[in-house]
Amino acid sequence: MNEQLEEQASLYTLGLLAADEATAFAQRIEADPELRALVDDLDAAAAAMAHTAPARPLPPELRDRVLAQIRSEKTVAFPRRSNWLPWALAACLALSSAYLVAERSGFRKRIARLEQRDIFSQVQIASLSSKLENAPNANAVVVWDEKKQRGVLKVTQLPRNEENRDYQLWLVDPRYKDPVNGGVFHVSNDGTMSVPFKPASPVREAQAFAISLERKGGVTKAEGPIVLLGK
Amino acid sequence: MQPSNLPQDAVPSPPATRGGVRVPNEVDADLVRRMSSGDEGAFTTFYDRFAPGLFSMIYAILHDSKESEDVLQEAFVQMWKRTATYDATRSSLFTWAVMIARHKAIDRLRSRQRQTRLSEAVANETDPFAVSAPSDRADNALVRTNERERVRAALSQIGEAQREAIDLAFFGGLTQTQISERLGAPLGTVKARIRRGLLALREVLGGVAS
Repeated sequence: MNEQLEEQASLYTLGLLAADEATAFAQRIEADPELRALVDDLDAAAAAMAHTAPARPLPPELRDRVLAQIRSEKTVAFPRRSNWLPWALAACLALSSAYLVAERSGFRKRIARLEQRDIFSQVQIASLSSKLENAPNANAVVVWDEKKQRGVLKVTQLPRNEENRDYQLWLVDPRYKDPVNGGVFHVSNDGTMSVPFKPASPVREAQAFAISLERKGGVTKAEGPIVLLGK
Repeated sequence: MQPSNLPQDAVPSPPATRGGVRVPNEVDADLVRRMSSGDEGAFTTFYDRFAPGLFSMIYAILHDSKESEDVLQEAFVQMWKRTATYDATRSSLFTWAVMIARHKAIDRLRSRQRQTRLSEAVANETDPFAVSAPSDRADNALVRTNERERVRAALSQIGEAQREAIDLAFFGGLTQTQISERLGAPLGTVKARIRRGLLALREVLGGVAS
């Protein structure tokens, strides 16, 4: 391992690389087991720094607040409202289909590992609400599969975009300085649209999703107004 | 207190390896499996083990109690929702939790455009070896105190300049350029210090842990 790679790995671990550098390095890590092992080791070394923080009393009531939120998040993640159900079923169907395809392709061993896990824990469902004064009922649903690094976006009641502009999806990941581009799309006259997407860079922690109105063809960094936002 | 009752993942070293292959920490893996299946009891165990230490770390970054509480809450909710992202063959649960919580704290710090010098913060802090909060379990507090001493001992073995650069990056959330300006050192020197410091810390902690 040369010094330059070690240096990049160290800066990556501490979040000191620029967004484009971090993206490129993340891709390199995935393709290089030795480099990945080094980054994992450096992550552990850096994490140990947390032990040096001076002790601070933890408010005892905070645990109840956290527990209350995770209970409510369960409800939010898998609501029983009928408009969510098709999406949850679609996610199940997609994963089941993937299973069948993979089985035929001889990936039984890999699938067996996946079977041991809760498939729903891999699928994130987010509801995006309107930021538009002229379309307060506009909304969107994002079904995001981090493992597969792809998702589906469904939009309703969103005003049709002008010919010289595009709507653009963004994924907010704290590992990046700026939101990650999820692609551009058009909305039909009835304000609906459904489209699969794949982010321009690997997303590990999708904390939020946003849709902005940009110039035609999209931009690399959001410039236009945010029209839908949620997590 | 028997060692088996102590959090195994508090050890700040990489996962053990056997024949070049990383060996997952089964305690970590089992806890995460239970959390993935929606076991709130497992989550409570997870919270009790890590929340006190993570809260101290977040506070050391933000220097604001209310914001630190909010960030800790956000971090634990995210961990609960994203247990699938944890890979026991790549890191300990401790490392995973620290990385998520730190990212959230740094993100909050940068969003409010407030950069605070670690040295100033430390000067205002309580004694690092002070008694832990009443809500903290005694065994967890003991483990953290032991780990703190081990990490401090390890840090004492690496260069002061290297430690300072890592401190500013880890707790201060500063960019490479800001660290360079703060230390009055060329950018290349700062990068080299961080590289040497982290590599040395890895070696020293690995040696201590084994």
